[in-house]
Amino acid sequence: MSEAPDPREALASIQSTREGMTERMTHPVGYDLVCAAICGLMVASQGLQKPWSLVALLAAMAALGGCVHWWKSRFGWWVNGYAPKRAGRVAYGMAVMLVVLIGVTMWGRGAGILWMPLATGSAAFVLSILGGRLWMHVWKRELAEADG
Amino acid sequence: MTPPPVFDPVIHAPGRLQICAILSSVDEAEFALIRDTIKVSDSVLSKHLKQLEDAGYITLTKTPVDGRSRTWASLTPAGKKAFAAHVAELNRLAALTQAPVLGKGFSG
Repeated sequence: MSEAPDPREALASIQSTREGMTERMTHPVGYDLVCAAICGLMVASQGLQKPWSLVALLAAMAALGGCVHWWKSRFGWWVNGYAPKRAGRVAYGMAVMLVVLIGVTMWGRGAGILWMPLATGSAAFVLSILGGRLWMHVWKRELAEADG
Repeated sequence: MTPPPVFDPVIHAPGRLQICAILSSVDEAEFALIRDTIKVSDSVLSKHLKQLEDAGYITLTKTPVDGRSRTWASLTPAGKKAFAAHVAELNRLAALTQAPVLGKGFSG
């Protein structure tokens, strides 16, 4: 590319740079599994009595913080999941569903349904894996289609 | 909302344009990732980052990792606005340069 690119050349450069970035943006399935396990345990632990449910919630939040730290040091970039327009909707949708699952678990604890944490925790595990992969897919498309 | 188109000579230089393209895609990116993506040397990248920082378009932070310092860059709100305005201007100029080609076709 020349030192003073023409507009179309410059726009193409932006596009190809972003494509170069997204090609690097792959992550191991193990990361999804670990994050999903943390989310599953966070939801399921709300079936425990207080203060253990609160302790487990805080531990899960700290573990998710550890995942963020690992990601940043491994890949050298970070993006707030809620910030992009379309991918952000996926993140908010996931957050709402996890909160609902936590609510159902707590209701199950009150109602004395012993298997409820297992069911909601498993649902949170699956939701986190699918949601994480969906988020990445939507975000990459969003980047590819962005013009600025 | 798309900002009004403004040509920005600080951003327009190829290396800095690519850096802004990366930083507009993520919240923050590490020095090595930017260097490897745009394929420049450490010194060239440092110079570009310094110019963008001096313009108030990016912030640079250093974090210690395994005893080494790693530099992270992120666009400031002013940088995001300037980059979006610059891209809007590029789109406007690209549309203008396309128009005569179409016109020529019709005039035969």
